[in-house]
Amino acid sequence: MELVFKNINFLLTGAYYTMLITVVSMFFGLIIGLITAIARLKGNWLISTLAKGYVSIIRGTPILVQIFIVYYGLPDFGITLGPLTAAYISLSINIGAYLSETFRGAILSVHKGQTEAAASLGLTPWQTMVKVVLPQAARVAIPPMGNTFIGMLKETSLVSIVTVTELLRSAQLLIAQYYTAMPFYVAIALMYWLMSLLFSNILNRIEVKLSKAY
Amino acid sequence: MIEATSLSKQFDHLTVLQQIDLHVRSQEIVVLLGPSGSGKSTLLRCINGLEEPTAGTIQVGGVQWDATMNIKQKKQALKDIRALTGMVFQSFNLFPHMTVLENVAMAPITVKNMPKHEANAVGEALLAKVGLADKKDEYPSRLSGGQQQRVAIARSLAMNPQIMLFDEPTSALDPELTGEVLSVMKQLAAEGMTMLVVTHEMKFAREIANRIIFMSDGVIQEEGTPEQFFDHPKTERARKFLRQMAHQPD
Repeated sequence: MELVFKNINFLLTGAYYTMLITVVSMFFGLIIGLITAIARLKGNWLISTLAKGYVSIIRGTPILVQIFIVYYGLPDFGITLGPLTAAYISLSINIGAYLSETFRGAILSVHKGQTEAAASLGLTPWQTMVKVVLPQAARVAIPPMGNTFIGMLKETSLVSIVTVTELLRSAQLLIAQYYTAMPFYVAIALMYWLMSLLFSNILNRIEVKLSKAY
Repeated sequence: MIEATSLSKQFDHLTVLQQIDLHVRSQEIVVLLGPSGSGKSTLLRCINGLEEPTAGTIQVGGVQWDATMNIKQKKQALKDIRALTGMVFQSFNLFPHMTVLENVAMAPITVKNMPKHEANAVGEALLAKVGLADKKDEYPSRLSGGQQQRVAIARSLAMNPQIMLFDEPTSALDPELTGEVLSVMKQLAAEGMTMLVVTHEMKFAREIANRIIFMSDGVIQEEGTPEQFFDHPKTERARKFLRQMAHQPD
């Protein structure tokens, strides 16, 4: 156990990268997910088919394969990415596909009468989306989004394979150095758990805030 | 004020409106009556562009919409028509995530770029007019149905429409709450608002209407003053409708 405390700074740096990857991927994933959801619902045939294809491919293939394609595959096309950048890109694209389904359901859950009322007041479809539909959809989307967010936090451990020194890889490096596994794995398990508690707490607060009108 | 000619609406193979001609003069109160499925609501929704007519023309306050126009022209006409008309729905359709005052002030701010303090002042005045000044900071879910519908009327009025369309405004309300909504509508009528109203409130229709239009099966069967329609209905269809309505408690 002293080994853990002796190397706590190294592990905390790993935890910092895990958090960073989670937050950055979630942020871009939110944007991608929102655009994809709106594209599927409001786009013309071509746009909605493209969006649908993207979601289908991402959801139908292992995330590890997606990470490998971005990190090891793209250099064949002359695109060489650093491990961290590759992690951001592959995870954002992955999370975007899952979130788009959440958002699509949430947008569809907003009653048609809301859109009609907004239209009759003279709002454009875009203004209706921003002022009326999305704020109501957000409330519906928060709980499933929380699940995706916590899932993302744990899936970041996969990018250790492309040599991003996040929390899991930090532990593995220490294990290789000290030839003892248990204390490090238990320590990082605890750290993952604490981070997921932190995130669910934040999301709960947002949910309470959005629900105050109901 | 409203001039619709040979307006038709089909949903797939179902004809909901057949060659409807409708005109409503400025400051006139026209009540549309008829059994369920007769096309009254669809007619109202066509005038406000919530449904697109299959054929015909609509003119509202000088703005012309024509089924033969191209998409861009239609869109512009629709936008102009919506700016002139306000719509009140059976199910209120207040925005649940906004306070009462935000509901009323949102459209002027968003559509007309009115400064927020000005829109709030307009909103507060309109809420006072419908008797709900003290509820301005509540969320709609805290209000009774009657109060929600009065807020919805205030919300429409905030865009300063020249015509108000009412689509069964009291049908979703408990009987004891209809009165407060009807009295707001009477007040509007007394102020000279042009109104086209779909309702099942016969007593109210008789009291408020300048003219009754009776529809069934997607066509206008007859029209006339409330006295003509209620006391001397011309068609068998209307007589049957009135007999059925007479059995309803009021």
